[in-house]
Amino acid sequence: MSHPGDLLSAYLDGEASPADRRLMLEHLGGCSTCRDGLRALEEARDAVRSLPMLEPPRIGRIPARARRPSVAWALSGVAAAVIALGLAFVPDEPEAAFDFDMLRDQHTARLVVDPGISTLRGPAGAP
Amino acid sequence: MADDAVPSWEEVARDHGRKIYNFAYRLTGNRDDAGDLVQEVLLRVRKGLEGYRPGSFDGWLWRITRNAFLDDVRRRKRRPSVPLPDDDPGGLAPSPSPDEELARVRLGEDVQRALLQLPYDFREAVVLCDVVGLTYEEIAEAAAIPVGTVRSRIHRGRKMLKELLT
Amino acid sequence: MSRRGLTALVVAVAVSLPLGAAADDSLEELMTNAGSGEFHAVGVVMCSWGADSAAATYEVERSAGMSMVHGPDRDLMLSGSLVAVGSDSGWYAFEVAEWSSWTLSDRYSLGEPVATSRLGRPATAVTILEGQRVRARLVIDDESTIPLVTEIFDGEGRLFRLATLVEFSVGSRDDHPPMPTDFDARSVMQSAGAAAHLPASAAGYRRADSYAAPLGGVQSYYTDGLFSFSVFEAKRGAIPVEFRQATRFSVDGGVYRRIVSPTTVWVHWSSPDRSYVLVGDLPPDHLVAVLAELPEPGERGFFVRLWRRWFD
Repeated sequence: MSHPGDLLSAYLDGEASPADRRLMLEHLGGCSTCRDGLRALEEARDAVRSLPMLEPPRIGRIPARARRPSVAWALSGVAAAVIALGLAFVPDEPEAAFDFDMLRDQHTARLVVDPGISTLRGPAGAP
Repeated sequence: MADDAVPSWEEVARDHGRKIYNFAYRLTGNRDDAGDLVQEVLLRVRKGLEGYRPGSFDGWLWRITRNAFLDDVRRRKRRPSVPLPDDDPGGLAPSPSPDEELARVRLGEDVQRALLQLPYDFREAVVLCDVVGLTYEEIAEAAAIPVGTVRSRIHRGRKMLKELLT
Repeated sequence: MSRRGLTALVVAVAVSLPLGAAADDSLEELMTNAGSGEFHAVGVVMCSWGADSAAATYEVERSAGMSMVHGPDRDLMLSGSLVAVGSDSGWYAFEVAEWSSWTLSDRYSLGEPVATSRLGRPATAVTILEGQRVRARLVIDDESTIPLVTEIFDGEGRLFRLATLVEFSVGSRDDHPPMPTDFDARSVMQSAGAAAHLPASAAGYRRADSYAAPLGGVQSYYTDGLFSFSVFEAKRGAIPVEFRQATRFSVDGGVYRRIVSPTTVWVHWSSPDRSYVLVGDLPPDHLVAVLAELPEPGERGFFVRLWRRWFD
């Protein structure tokens, strides 16, 4: 048998066929190059396998297309409105006076005094 | 509501969320991207579960995961290589015991760095095999490539890793 | 509600109405009990609304009448009517001073309960019917009566919102989440009675209360007992920056913009005189029906706009 090449990794992973495994064993018995190769592969594999499994963060969200209103945005909106008012020649309307964080809080404040489905109600204030 | 053959969405979320997260983290080295991917995958799984037929669930799940990951990479128009943990202190949000976690992450830094230097195809095959624990056949199904290609990618990936680590 | 309570409820439903519909007092009881009990849970809530979708994970801890909700970027502590919000910049609190009592619309009824299990626990699956249509399906933990899964369906029977717990344990834990010790001065007490230019009811939703809203606006809170929304109205202005990229949709020819979050939908529109923001958890078909009964979107003429810009 010539040097088994990528069968070495398959052998290591138990992914070689029984026939290949037998051939490989015979070959490894007489080939120190492949024995060294196998050891190196095993070390590389173990290095990756021993990487710590990290815990995903509990909290996260996907703002698919939705943009969550934020104080910064609202403030920039108010600032823009103030500037627009100053420049009375600009034919744009100023933004309506909505601070979305405050609207959310205010809706939440009223919402929580009603009974509701708790698993939905729980995170309702923090979309 | 329980179904013996097809796992429920909650089971997928509970049992696979961690692996999906680690898959993405090891491919990108970025925790935020990894967290985003977990949720994107779970959304897609939720949509796809109704049409899922009992079969190789892992192959199916990891195909979704891989596609979500690649879509994300394409959307960001960059290679799936981002700063390493030590370059990105903000990404290392410590959870239960910060020092311990940090030390554990640090331990794998050289390996993570080496992983990120592998060509994407090799890195993906190695991560699916050795981090996620898929069989060659499942990897083949997930990546839509022949088993022989999986074998060669894992082999070459490990060889390169070994060289990078010594 | 105890296990005994739930069993009694299930029996009452099964016995009293063998055809599958139940008196809504069972549903009232279910709703009330869904908000009590001590537990710790990690959940995922997701919403798919047209082409928009959003999801979030959250952690809830409830003990001693207090709930602590850890959300994506802020924490909420609920205790009675007091809501405390915590983030990196500290805590602040707000509450409403008065509110009208909760009533459940008679359009909802409980379907027949089915024994099941969830997260390895004995549970009961119940449907909430709106007329003949399934509006929601809950899987309720038998021991605690906490809903482990909540599915809400749209007018065509499609699932549009799902809240599901992936970890759940009953009782209080030893390692309580940290409670806020000092609050920022930003405590807001909302007072009822502000004047609103909105109808007393819309598409089965009753205007329960009105409050003075921030920046001179008015908040009107509508509820049908199951879903609810607030409409904020203010003097007409340009589209807020948050909504400029939002999805546009139309109802009766009027154009609205919406943003979907996992638990709520935000809608913005302007009439010739006022701008409105609606925020709530109502389903898409209800939203369309409600919008049709609220002031409709409209532009105002250039000279009116100019006049108001300069002299209003």
